[in-house]
Amino acid sequence: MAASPTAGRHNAPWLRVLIGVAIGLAALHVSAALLWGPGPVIAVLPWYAPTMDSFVALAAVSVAFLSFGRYNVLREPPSLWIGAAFSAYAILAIFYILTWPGLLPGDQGLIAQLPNTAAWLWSLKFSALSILLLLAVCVRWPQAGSPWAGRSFPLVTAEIIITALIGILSVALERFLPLLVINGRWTPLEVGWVGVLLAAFVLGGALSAYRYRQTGDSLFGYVALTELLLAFAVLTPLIGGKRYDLWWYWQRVLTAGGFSAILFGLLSQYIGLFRVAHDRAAQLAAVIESMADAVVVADRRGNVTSVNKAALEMLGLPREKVLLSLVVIAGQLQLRDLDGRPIPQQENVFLLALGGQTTTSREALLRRPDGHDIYLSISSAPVRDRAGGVVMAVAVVRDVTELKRLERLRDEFLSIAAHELKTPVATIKGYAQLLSEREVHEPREVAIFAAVNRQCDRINRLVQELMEVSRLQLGRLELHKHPFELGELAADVNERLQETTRKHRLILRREAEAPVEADRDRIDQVLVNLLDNAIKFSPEGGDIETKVYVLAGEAVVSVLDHGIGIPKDRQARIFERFYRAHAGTPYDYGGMGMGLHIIREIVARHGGRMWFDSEEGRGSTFHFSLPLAGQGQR
Amino acid sequence: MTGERKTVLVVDDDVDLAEMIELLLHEAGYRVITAEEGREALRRITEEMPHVILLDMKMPGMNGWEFAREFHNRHDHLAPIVVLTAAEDARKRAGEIEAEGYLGKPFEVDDLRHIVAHNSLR
Repeated sequence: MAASPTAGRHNAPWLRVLIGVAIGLAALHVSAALLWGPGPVIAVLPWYAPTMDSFVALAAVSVAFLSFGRYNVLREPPSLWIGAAFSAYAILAIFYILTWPGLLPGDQGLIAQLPNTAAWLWSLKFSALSILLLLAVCVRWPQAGSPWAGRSFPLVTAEIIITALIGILSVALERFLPLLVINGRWTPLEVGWVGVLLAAFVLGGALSAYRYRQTGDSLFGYVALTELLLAFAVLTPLIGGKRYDLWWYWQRVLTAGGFSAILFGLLSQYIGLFRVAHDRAAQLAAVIESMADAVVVADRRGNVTSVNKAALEMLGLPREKVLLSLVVIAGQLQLRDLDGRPIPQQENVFLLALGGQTTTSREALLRRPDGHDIYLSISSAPVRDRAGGVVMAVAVVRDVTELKRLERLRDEFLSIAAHELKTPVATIKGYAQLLSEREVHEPREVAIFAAVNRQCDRINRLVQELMEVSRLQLGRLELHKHPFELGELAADVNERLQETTRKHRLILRREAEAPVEADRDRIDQVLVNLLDNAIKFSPEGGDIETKVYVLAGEAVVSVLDHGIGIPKDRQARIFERFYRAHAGTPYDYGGMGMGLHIIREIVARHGGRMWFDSEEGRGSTFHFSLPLAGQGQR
Repeated sequence: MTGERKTVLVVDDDVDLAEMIELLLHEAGYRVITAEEGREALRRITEEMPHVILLDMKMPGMNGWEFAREFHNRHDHLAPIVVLTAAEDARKRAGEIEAEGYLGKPFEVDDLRHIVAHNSLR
């Protein structure tokens, strides 16, 4: 998500104009000077050359600095190469300046008058510049993901040191390789070298312009302009030859112009970046501020750092009263579980987010300063930096009080509806049974009343399942876990279910202490369902044995009956929603087939399993397991 | 006044159901009085104390809880109360009002006969 392409594209039209104008001006200057001669301006001012060169060197340093900075943020390879190009140039240029005659009295350079060294340095600096600029345009290394991308600092340091060494060594070149300037004139070698430089700049400029057209990144546009001006800059001494002063004057002007171009380009990109960054930040802040849900951000130490308007409205507090530690706020606002229990720190989803854990839709209860309780649904997540460490946590909080109210209404409605349905069913069933007990004239009538009785039972069962399904809210199964002894619950359920049947003997065997941390009501439901099934599917009566034991760190409950069992070909799908294993058999008790599916879900949500063994005609044993309390369940 | 026959008071606002229970219990040899809500039931009790009270919980007027409280205040546990209710946990309801028994709706007619017989033994 780099900002520069978008920042660059705005500048496209006038940049092309600028390039055109620059070419025009340069051509104009060159032709004017060719035609009309140097004029008074190019009087040999001893300070002109070193001053211009110093400015250019300074510009080069600035460009390098800006370029490296750009690379640091955007990690785009061209910036790295451009920075390298101009830093290399700058170092070699500084050495070049030191050799310039006229800096000291007696027309001496600061180091010494070293025409060959100077020529070497001059040629080398432009070579380094042209080569590295070519690389900037063509090479896409280091890529953003590569390990070298983060190691630019050592690379750059190496480059600077090498360049400095070259600079230092070049002083010796006067003596050892005096190949470029002889008797104050350029040798063919030097001329050839400059010709190559010219070609390099032209090529680089063309490629850069092409890249600019391709990507729309204005940085390439500026590089193209710079290379063009530098091409002219190295052209001038080639043309000039004898008219040394004039061409060297123009060469410096053009070089300065070229560097200014890219300096200007980078600076304007920076300003563009600032503007984009600022706009983006403002936009993001505006988005968060106008969200309907409350957004709360906390820093690593658990202090709230920002909240949006919706959050302040929801909590009913002014901003300064919210920017506190999370723990303090949770205490002040009485952050509780849905059953009223205060939420301990280990379960505070915000603190968990700071530890790296993402939570969705955790429900909680909160008391506003005006005394009203509100129901919340909190989703929290950690915010990580590039290295993967957690720097902040953000939570989105939704007021679900209304939702809960509707849920309660619905449950109430369903409860009333079920209640209302059962009474007429009781009347119908009762009459049907009474009628069936009478002396009837036709045997068919017995069957009729038996059918009516059966259908009443079926309606009743359906009503039961309807109630169960709605209460369970499949898909949003909320568990309220507390520690309790599983064997004790099994005993309670056994007792209750025993009262519903005279034909069966419900036996409980508690073989071990089985402390669990679970939702007691739900596990109650599981046990009731299993025992009810056992009773239902042993129509002849008999023993139903419930065993509670511990195995491999889990609490296990087995319910064994000696009833009709489950046919082999029906066993595979028994836990499927809506699947009724006994549909169409004489033991079809109707219903929607939700029971086993529901209770297996419940057990699974607790981190346990449910399984069974069954043989048709012999009976079934259903087992389920729950993690023992303190066994690190999630 | 009643001789061998025991008296059952059926308190339920559903007239059809009450009539069905009346028929059922009458054929089983009981005398049946009906009331549609708590206050009426209490009035009938002042006329005659039944041997068993079958009590529905949700009724308009005076509901089952209120009736049970009043009854126990005035007459202690002179007559056993069997809660007859369509709610899921009839047992819990029974516990709330200290009833002597409970039966969920819909029920097997045999079960009703048994529970009335069981509770009318004195």
